[in-house]
Amino acid sequence: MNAFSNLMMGFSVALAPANLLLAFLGSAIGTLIGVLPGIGPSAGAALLIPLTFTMEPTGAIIMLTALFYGTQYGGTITSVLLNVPGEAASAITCLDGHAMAKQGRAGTALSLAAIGSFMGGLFATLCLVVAAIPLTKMALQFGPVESFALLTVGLSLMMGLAGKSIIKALMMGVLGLLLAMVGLDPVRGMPRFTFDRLELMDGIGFIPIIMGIFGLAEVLSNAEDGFGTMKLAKMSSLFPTKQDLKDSVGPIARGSLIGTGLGLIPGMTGSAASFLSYIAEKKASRTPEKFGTGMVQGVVGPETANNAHANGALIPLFTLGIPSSPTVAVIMGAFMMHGLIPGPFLFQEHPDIAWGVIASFVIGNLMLLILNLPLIGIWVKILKIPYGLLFAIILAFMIIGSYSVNNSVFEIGIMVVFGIVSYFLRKMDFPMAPLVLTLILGPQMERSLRQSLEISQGSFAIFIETPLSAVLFAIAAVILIAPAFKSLRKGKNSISGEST
Amino acid sequence: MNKNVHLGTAIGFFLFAAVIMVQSLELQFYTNLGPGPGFFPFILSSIFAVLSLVWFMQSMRDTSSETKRRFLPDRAALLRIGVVIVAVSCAALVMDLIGYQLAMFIFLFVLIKFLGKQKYLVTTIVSLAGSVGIFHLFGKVLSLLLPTSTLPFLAVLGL
Repeated sequence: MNAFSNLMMGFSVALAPANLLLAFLGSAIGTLIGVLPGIGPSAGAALLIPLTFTMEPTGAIIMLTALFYGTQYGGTITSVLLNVPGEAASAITCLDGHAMAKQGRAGTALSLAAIGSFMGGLFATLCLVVAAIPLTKMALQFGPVESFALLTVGLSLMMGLAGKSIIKALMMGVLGLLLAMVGLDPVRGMPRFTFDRLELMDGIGFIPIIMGIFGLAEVLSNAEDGFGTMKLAKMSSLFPTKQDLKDSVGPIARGSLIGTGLGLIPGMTGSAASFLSYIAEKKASRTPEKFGTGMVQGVVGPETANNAHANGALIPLFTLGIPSSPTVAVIMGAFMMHGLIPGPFLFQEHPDIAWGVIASFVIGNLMLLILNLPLIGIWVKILKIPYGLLFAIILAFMIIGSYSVNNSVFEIGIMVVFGIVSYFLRKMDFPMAPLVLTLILGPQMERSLRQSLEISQGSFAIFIETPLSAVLFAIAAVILIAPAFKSLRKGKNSISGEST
Repeated sequence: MNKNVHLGTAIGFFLFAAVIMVQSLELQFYTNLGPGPGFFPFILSSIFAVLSLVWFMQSMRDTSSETKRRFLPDRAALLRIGVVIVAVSCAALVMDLIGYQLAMFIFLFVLIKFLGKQKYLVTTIVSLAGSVGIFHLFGKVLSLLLPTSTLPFLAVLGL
């Protein structure tokens, strides 16, 4: 079957009433998470996973992926109306989005951002449809050696690009791998680091860890700043002028390309995509000095890019089984909890699920366009809920989410421990994204490493024997070593890693 | 002050790596078939130990303004953080004993009223919705069973 007929088969799955409802729920909850300060997409997706335990895998994944790209839409609303980004990728939108709101053009900013996000999401989904078959065919040729090399490159990119200091990013990456060692050894089934606790036999649950490091740590940071109230800008007409629409065409095209392209690279966050798009728009503009004063291009470009990035980031997950961001890693975890392994085999063994979920991206983005244009008033009302009330509700959901993993309060304890540790590590500028990625990929990485060494009877030369793995390891080495040389050349060093 | 925290954390990380290294050696490092269960953790903990040392050295040489920044927040902020941590921990500890509904009602009421500083009516309504409401919603709609009390007099009340 070609890509088009596969997509049509996917639509027949995604358009089933139950899946439509779940796509809608995911989109709505995603927008809500984007709107709410103090809870990001990773914690949001982790919160929702326990609720999907009793669902069909297709519906569960449709809901979680819709939640992921839905957060990108929601984050814009707070950026424009409050000058506070609901999530990191929308931070740059504050500059021109809030300036437009102050000029009484909040509605125009939000509607153009929603249209741009829709176009960006659609473009990235089309790229996934086109790339899926060739990429999966290539991935099917991979043995354990190539898999290990590919995982190493993915993780190196993540660590090389995360945070300000490569040492701290590496430390978090290795810590994630060490945490993934807890539980039964994936090759021989021998218990490791379980301290004779039955709860640890299956490893440390990634849901409580993610809730701790992204959810609880965020609430603790907000508690440090106090639970103050925020000033909401007034809404205006949603209809853009002809000139606004004309000004948006270029930013939408550029944002789609930048976002999708960066989505393919592990470690490139949605924030990087929106920031790069903002710079591109400024460079392309005849009046760059007006950026920051309410330019339409400064809103549409970054918003298109961050949503294209969210959908584009799912391309490596679906085709190669490699998550490129913490939230995508959580989605990968959800796949595994439902007994599915994302990657090339998913297209072979469960084409209905793979193509059903891909088709749902189109539907989900369309739903988000509706949710964010005519129904914008609902989100504005939600923004009026005081944070003093919201933080307790968010905490309650985290407790339920952690407890539901194994019906055990032990998981809540894990969430608390990781929340406290992460709060302090974040104060020391440790990036948390590498930890989450390696935590999820750890067992797979260990399995491919050990299988490779079993094939070679212990010789590490196997990793440079095939040209593909040799090239991949060379790339990984360059990514990890380059920042060290850069730092040496600058001749200075700091705890915050400003020079690294 | 900040510098000492960084140095202390680096030492802590190094000790953590050392413990894992020792424990990894107690597992099988290599078998007839290839690497054993202790192989990967040993390599990882060795790398972690080296990285901790590098970070320690970097922190020692650091003279940036970061080192002078206060690490811990002021007393009021610390109190707010402490209340959140204690509240979540207590809710977890008593949940199996007094059941989800009562534990979560108290948890939400305390946080919303005393940290969130909301009115009594709002606090009570949200606390009831988040405890009794969620318990029934999750149980009936999502088939997710939340704990009920193990104390007979509370269990009789359906809590």
